[in-house]
Amino acid sequence: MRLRSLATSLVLAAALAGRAEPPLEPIVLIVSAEWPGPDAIDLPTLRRVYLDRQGQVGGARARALHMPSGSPIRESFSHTVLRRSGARLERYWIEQALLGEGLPPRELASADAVLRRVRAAPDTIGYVAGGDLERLRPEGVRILAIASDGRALLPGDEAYPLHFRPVPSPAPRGDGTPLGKGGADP
Amino acid sequence: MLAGLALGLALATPARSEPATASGRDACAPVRAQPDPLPDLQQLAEAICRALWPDALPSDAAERWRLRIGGWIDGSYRDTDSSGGDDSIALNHANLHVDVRLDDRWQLFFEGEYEYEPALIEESDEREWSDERGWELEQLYGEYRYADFLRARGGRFSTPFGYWTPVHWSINVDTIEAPLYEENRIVPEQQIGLRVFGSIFSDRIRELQTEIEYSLYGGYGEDGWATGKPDGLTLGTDLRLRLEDRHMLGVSLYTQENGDEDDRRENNLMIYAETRLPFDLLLRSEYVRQHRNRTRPGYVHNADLFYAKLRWDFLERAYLNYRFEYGEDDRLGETVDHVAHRFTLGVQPIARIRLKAEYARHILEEGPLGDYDFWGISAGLFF
Repeated sequence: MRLRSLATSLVLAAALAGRAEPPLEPIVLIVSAEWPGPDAIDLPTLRRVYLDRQGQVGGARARALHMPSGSPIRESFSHTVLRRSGARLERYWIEQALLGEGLPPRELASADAVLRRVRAAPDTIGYVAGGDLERLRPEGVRILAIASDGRALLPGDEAYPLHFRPVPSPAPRGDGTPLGKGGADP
Repeated sequence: MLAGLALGLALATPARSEPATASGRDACAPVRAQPDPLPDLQQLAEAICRALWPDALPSDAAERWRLRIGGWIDGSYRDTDSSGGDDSIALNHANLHVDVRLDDRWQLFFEGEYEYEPALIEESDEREWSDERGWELEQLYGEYRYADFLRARGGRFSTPFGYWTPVHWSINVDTIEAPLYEENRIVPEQQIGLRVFGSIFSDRIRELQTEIEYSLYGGYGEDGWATGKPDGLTLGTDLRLRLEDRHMLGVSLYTQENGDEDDRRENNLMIYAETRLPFDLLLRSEYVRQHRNRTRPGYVHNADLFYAKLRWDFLERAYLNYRFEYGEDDRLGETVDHVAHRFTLGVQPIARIRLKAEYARHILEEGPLGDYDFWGISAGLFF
């Protein structure tokens, strides 16, 4: 009986904790509308572009752009796409420097900056949060789908592999958000 | 939300009026992978870039220009109970390298190094640590990248032979002492000449992500060119197959006339492989065979050298490494069968600091000289 009540409590706690977490948001790959490359890119190719081991995709030049180091969207992107721990990635870039090979992608401060750079430089690939793309409504860029098992996956497709959990902004006082539920409390 | 997102793109309207290109200041951002609290030379690179590309300039060229300045130092304490051996503490290397990307296609690279690497040698039937030290031009080359599959590099560059030789920097490798084939200088670390190389990517081999890297190179060396042994033309090739970013198989060929050995012809074959295993284990092996068309008495015509290593990254920033080495060792006045068991503990508090502690048991199975042990600790810093 005690076990059952403990299990019930755990399930309830998990449900409450789950409700407190913000929903997953898609990470959207973007390129310039003028980019002559393909409409979809597979994750291994994307990984090589971000590791600066591959500079062309489908015959079109491709330079990677990163969001700021330490941001949740970059952490999720690196985890899913680069598949290297932070320490291994650092070692990789140091070895590349000694070899005179790959350079780390340029890092831009915000989604706005990434969108502007992609639009201005048609050989760049960047990524932004789906919400930012919707909010900024940029022109001159297009979404790059992710190729997987012969399909071109777009954000919203069930099998779309790139998501992150954004850190919520601090809620203004008096908005009714219970303490400890919004993620903004210390 | 996603329907709205797609609609938003389809009906995209400009959010605001913005400059068509980014500012030159963005283009001078330091080339760093991860920030950490230690200073580095990227601040110098940033200052140079800002001087070259004032803010007012259109930035397309500035954006494609990139400058990376880096360096590293390392030092070690080494001890051995070998006859003629002694303990030593030394600054082993001080290295500076400068990488300039003029645009997407052109690159200039410079690397200079102070080097003092004690090595066991035999002088007049006695073993002792060599004491050579000094500044060396390691690499100086220009590169043109036509496409991923075709690049050309001319100047002085690292020899693309196997795994270890191109990434030989002591601070970068897992161990303090190099494998026997490297200690024997089977091939020179650098070439002066031309290298054509590239990579081809595919997922068509049994649907595995495949990368093929090739390299063809030719060089020239003689006394005064500081190229080591080569006297005259050298030729080499390297072919690597990578699968799923976890497995690598490679083969290298290299030929030269050795000026230190009365211009004898040396033909080298290298086969090497690496695989990443579960539980953060990494297995790597390299095998070299060198054929000499003539030798002095006591030396072999065909020298075989081999190592296999197992590395376990038991923590994010710490590893244990075991390396078994076997080689026909020419450094001791005759060819001697040499076996070594080497254990290394590596710790990297941050990626730019490398600490190593090492013990090795050397077994010399033939010849008059006995077995010996090696102990060492080393510390290195990238800046």
